[in-house]
Parts: sequence; structure tokens; C-alpha cells
Amino acid sequence: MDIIAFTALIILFLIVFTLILGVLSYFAFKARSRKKEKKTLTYEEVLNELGRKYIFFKDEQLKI
Amino acid sequence: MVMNKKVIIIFGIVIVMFGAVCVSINTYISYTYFVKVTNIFIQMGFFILISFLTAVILRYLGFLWFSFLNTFSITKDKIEIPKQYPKISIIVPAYNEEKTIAASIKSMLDLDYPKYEIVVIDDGSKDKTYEVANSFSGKHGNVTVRVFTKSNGGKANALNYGITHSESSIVMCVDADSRLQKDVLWRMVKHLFDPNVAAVAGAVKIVNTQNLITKLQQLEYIEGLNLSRSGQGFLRAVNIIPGPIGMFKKSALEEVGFYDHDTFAEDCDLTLKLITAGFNVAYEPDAVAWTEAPEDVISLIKQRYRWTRGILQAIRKHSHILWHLKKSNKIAFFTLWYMQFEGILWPFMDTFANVFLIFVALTYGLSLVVVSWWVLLTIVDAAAALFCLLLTGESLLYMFYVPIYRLFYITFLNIVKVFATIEEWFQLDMTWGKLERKGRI
Repeated sequence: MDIIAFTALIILFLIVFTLILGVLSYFAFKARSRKKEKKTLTYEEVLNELGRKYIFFKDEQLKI
Repeated sequence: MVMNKKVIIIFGIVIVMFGAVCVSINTYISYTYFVKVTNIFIQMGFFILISFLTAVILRYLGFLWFSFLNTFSITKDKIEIPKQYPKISIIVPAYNEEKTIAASIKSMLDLDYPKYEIVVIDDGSKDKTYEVANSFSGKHGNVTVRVFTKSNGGKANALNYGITHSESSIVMCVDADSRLQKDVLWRMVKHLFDPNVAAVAGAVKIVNTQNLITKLQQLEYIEGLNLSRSGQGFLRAVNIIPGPIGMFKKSALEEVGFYDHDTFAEDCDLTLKLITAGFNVAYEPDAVAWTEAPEDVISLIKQRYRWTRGILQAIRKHSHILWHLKKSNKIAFFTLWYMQFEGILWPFMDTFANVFLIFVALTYGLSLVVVSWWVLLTIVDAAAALFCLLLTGESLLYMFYVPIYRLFYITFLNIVKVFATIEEWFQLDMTWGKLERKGRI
């Protein structure tokens, strides 16, 4: 294998690696953003999640 | 600094020869393969590659040339400087910046300028930003610090609040995580003595260069962003006054209606408004602000995603200029077309070139064209990086990062830009996506 073909192979390998990494990272970023957006819960959603009639807060949680 | 005419001519000739050699090699190699292949689509691909690489090389060399002229500009030194420097207001919008705001204000208290004030606007932070900033309130020798707090309304709103509450005719807008070099104020304000110049952009560098990602960003700031700003500065048509360091005439801001909050790149939008209104925007390479860069991949994507979509929103907002050369301001017309090339065409073409080269190499085994494409781009990058590093006095060790910068970093960022452009095209929802500060300034 000559030097040009070898260099081309390394370059191509890096390009493919970067392209795959770029696409995966982008979708990881989107997934994380979606997860963060979902952080806001409604009162009813928490009630459903807990399966209770009331939600109890500690004093320090009520301080703004 | 006034440079000898002979040196300017020699530098110009070197740039032209360098460009001619690069373009010739690219054309020769690509054309050799262009005539070898018979498939019309592959031939078209080669034609696109030749055109695009030529455009990129010319763009780089053009900026190198204009940047050289801007740095050693003769006209800049012809500006008459009055005996008394005007008072300046530094506007610092802050939202959840308790980690960085103290260091930022401290760096601003120590600037080399006779009289200025610091106006901090806490934009409804949920942390102790206001308390930390307010502890600096009052007089500090020739500097006055005033701290305001208001309900959260976004960065543009906070900047406008600060500008309208400032007491000077010249305002400098900075980010809460900016650390300013001591001499920035007098270096920048002298450009505003030119009656046609409404704003001045400064240079941005990265403070936290402790890992590969931030080192590559530093190289990008020095070689990519600051070089193009310096080139545009010679033409007095800088297209983005960066958030960390920008100085404005208050009267010009009033005329264009201050910052708008309908884009995610309020700095780019304001600059375009100023250019469209016929004002000149200068660049001062020796006025430096250090800022904290994202330290991990996801934060970097978050930042670039917002920048890309914000810039595209600003272009869209001013897109009426694109089709009316006769009616609109000529500089604004060319600036917007250039931004289309840089913001949309370049990322797509770069990604297309990568995919095309993989396909061609796998199908035809054309290895020389792959190597020449990357080697030429890396040589152009290296030339630009060397010029900028020598000019800014930064460590030449950054030259070692140039191959990684070209092979990995630019390709990676262009993928993010392509996705962000597609999302902007379909106008998908987005949020501000504030970066988590590490408090490194």
C-alpha cells in the first residue's frame, strides 16, 4: 500500500468516525433537551405518580 | 501601527501566489479525476468540489489580506483623538451568574480608563446573582457600580434596560462571564470618534483552555471568528458584534430601536440593523475579552445549535435586503449574502464533500483526491492559524491542533449546523439553552 492510499484510508476512517459521532451526539443532545423540558410536572401528574390523595411538602420545599 | 507600503505589497503578492498554488493543485487533481470518471453525477460532484474548495480558499485568503490591512491600517491611525475621553457605561446583563459575576465585576473595576460606570442588570435570577453583584454597588475611585434587578425578560430585554438606565452616550455591552483586558475601553472608544462608525467589536478568547475541546475552540476563536471579524473590520462591516465585547454609540442604538428579542442571536440581529441603517461597524483586534467556553461535547452542541438557529433567524428577519440590491444598502446586501454562504452553504457543502469523498473512495478507489482535499484545507487553515497566532502573540503550540481542528472539529460542528439549519427551516420550537458556568474566569 502506498503512502497516499494509506493517508487516504486514515482520513476516511476519521471522517466516517466523526460523521457517526456527530450524528449520535446531536441526537443525544436532543434527547437530553427533551428530558429537561419534561421536568415540569402538573399537580395531577404527581398525584397519579404517587397514587395518593394528597401531596405533602416539607417546610424547606415551600420556601421560595 | 503604520506599515511600510513595500511590506503590504509583498504580503499581498505572497497571499495571491499562495492562493494561486492552492487553487491550481485543487483544480488539477480534481480535473484529472473529473475526466477519468464517466458517471455524470460523479462528474457533477467533482465540479461542485472544485468550485467549493476554490471559494473556501479565496475566502480564507481574502480575510487574511483584509485582516492584515486592518491590523496595520493606516486610516485607523488618522482618526483624530480628542483630549478628553468620553464617559462610558458598561452594561452587564446577568441571569443565574452567581459563580462568575464577582470575578467579572472585579475585572471591570480595574480597567485603564479615566471615567466609566458599570451597570449590572440582574434579569430575575433564581440564584444569588443580585446579592453578589449588589455587594459591589457604589463608588470605587473613578468607577461607579450600579446594580438593578428586574423580572426575567431575556438577555435583549436586560441589555435594553441597562442601556436606557445608563448615564453615558457610549455604552459597552458585555456578558456576565466576560473578563476584560485592562485597555479595552480606550482601544475601542477611539474608533467611535469616526462619525460614521456606530459600533466596535472586540476580540474574544477563551479562558478555560484546559482540555482538547476548549483548546480547539480557542483555535476557532483566534483563527476563524476573530480573523473574519478582523477582515470585515477593514471594510467597516463586521456582521456580528460578539456578546462578550461590543461598544456602541447610544444615539445609533436609539435610531435602530435597541436590541430585539425575536431572535436567539440578538447581537447578530442588532449588528445587521446597524449595517442596514447605513452605519459602519469596526473591529479592534487588541481589545480582548476572555470568556468561558463549553467544556463537554453536549454543551458545545447546545451553544452552536443556538448560535446557528439565532443567526439564521437574524438572516431571515433581514432577508428582504437579499433581493433588493438597488433599493437597499450595498454593504448590508453583500453582508447578508456572505452570511448565507458562511451559515448555510458552507456546512452543507462540507458535509456533502465528506459523504461524496467516502463514496468516491469506496467506489473508484481515488485516494489522491481525498488526500488533496484534506491536505489543501489543512494547509489553508495552518496558514491562517500561523498568521493569527503570530499576530495575537498566542502560543504557537496551537499549530499542532490544526490537523485535528480540520479533520475532526470542523466536520463535527458542521453536522450540528446542518441539523440546526434543517430544524430552523421547519421552524421547530427551541429554548435558550443557557450554558452551565464552571466559574473559571
